[in-house]
Amino acid sequence: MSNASATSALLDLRQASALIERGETLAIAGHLDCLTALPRGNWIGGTTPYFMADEGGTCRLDRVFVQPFGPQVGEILCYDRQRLPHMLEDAPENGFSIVILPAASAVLEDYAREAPNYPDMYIKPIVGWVAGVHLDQLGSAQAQVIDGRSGHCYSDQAIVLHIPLPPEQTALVHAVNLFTPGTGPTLRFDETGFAARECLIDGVRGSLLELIRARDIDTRLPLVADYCGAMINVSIQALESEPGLVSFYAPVFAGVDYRFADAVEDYSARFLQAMPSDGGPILFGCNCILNYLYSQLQGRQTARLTGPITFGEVAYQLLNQTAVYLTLEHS
Amino acid sequence: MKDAELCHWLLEVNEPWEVSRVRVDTHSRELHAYLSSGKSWFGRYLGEQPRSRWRHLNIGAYKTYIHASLPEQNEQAAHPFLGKSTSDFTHGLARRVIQCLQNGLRYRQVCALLDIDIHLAWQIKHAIESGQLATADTDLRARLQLDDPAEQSASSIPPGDDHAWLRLLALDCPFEIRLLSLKLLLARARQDFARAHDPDMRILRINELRRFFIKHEKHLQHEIAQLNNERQHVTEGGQP
Repeated sequence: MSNASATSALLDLRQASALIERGETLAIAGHLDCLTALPRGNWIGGTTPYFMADEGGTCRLDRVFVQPFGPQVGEILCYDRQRLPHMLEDAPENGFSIVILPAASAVLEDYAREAPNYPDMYIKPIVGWVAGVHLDQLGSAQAQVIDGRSGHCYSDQAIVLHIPLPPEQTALVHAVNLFTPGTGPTLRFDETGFAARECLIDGVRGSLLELIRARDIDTRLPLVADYCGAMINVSIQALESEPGLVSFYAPVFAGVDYRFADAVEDYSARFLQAMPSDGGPILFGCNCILNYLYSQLQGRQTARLTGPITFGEVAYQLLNQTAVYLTLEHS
Repeated sequence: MKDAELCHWLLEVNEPWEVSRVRVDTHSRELHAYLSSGKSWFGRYLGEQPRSRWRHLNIGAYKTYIHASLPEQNEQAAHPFLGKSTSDFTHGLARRVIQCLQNGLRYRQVCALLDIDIHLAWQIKHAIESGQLATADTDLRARLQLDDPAEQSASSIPPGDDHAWLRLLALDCPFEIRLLSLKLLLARARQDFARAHDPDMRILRINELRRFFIKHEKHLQHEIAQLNNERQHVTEGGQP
C-alpha cells in the first residue's frame, strides 16, 4: 500500500466524488443523503453525521469523512447473518479488513455476541464501526451501510472492505480506552447478552439495577473488563426499559469479571496523553459517540486520530466508548 | 467445473469428505480448502466446532491449507488430505517429506523443494525423530541429524508441545503483552482452555496461539522473550 495516496479528511461531496472517480478505494461516513449522492465506485459507506475532523469534533450534514486505501485495491463483500461468521476467512492472509455494521440490526447483534469465536478472529486484523443516525432522528431513521459499487443501502447486512498488503507491510490494530475498572464490586454474569437483571456482585447474587441505584452509579461510565491487559468496555444503554432490566450497547460475556469504570476528567487532554506519537501512519480511525457526548468533544481535538464518530467500534470484537485505529507498519 | 469440485479432484478428497469452499489468496499465493464430511456445517457456522488447519502439498506455486473441524476428522482414517489434531501438517505432506528423504534428498533440500518454512520444518522433523510418523527407517532418522541443528534452533518460538504454552494459558500466569490482538486472543484462549476438557480442543488453542506468534514474530520480540525466559526457568529446574 502506498503511503502517497490521499489522507483521511472531512470533505465536501465534490471532493469526495473526485476521489471516487479517480478510482480510490475508500471507506466513507456521512449522512444518508450525502452517501446516496456520491457516484458509484470502489467504496463502502455507513451513516453517521458526527466526525472527529482535523479541527475537532463536529456534526455535519453536508460533508462526508473519507478514508482512502489506495487506487483500485481490495475486495468489497456484503455479509448477511448466515455468511457473517465467515467474514475473516475471506480476508487476505496478509492485510486487513474494514467492517461497517448497521446499528439496531440482527447482524450487529450476531457480530457482538459471536465474533470472538469466528474463525481467524484476532489472527487477521479487522477494524470498523457501527453506523447510526443523527441523535434527533433516533427512532425515526434507520442506520444504513452502503455498497458503493452498486449504491445499494442495507440495514440488515454488514459491508466489508478486505485489503491485502505486500509481504513487507503489516497492519496493527489499536484501541485507546481511557476507562479503567473502578474500586466497586466485581460483577459476573451468568449469560452472554445485551441485557441483565441479576449478576454475581462480589460473588453474591443480586440485582444490577438495585446496585446502580443504591450506589448512585453514574451510568455514563461503562462496565470494564480486563482482557489480559486490554480494557474492554460495555456501556449502559438504559435502565428499566423493562422492569428490573439493565440494557447494554454491547453484550456482557458470561464468566468475565466486570467493574464500573472510574470517571475520566478532561477526556480530550487525557486522550492526547494516551495517544502514542510513534508508530506507522494511521490508515483508519474512529471514536465513540458516547465519548463525543459525555466528554464534550465537539470542537475539541483527539491528536492525530480522526474519523467517524460511531455507535460502536470494532477492534476485532465490538467495543464501546473506545477509540480505535489501524496503523501500517513494516513487517 | 466449479472451484470446489476442481479442488476435490486436485486434493484427492474421498467421500464422505467434500470440499465445501475454496479461497485463493493471490497476494500470499495460498489456497485454502474448507472440508466437511457432509453431515456437519455445510457452509453454516457452528461456533462450537473449531476447525483445525493443516499445511498440505502445494498446488502449483500455491501453498495449500486444509481446514476441517476437529470432531469430524477424529472419526476418520488417516486420509492424506487431513492431519492429526496435534500437527500443523497433513498426512500427505508428511508422507511426501519422507519419500523425498528416502530418495536421498537432504532435509534442507526437501523443505526448500516443498516450500516448508522453518517452523513447520521443525515440527515435521520432530515428528519423524520421535517416531510419530510411523516410519521404522532408522537410516532416515539418522540422515535428519546430518542437517545443521542451527536450522531448527533459528526460531525462537517454542514448539507446540513445549510446556511454555501451557503456562501461558494458565489463568494466573503474568505475561506482559503489547499487541491488542494478542491480549484478546490470549484472554479468549485462557477462557476456553479453562473450560475445555477435551485434550484435542486444548491442543487446538495452543496451535492457534502458536500460529499467531509465528505470523507476528517480528512484532512480538518482547513476548517471545518472556516465553523463552519461562522455558529457561523450567530447564534450570524451576517449578513449571
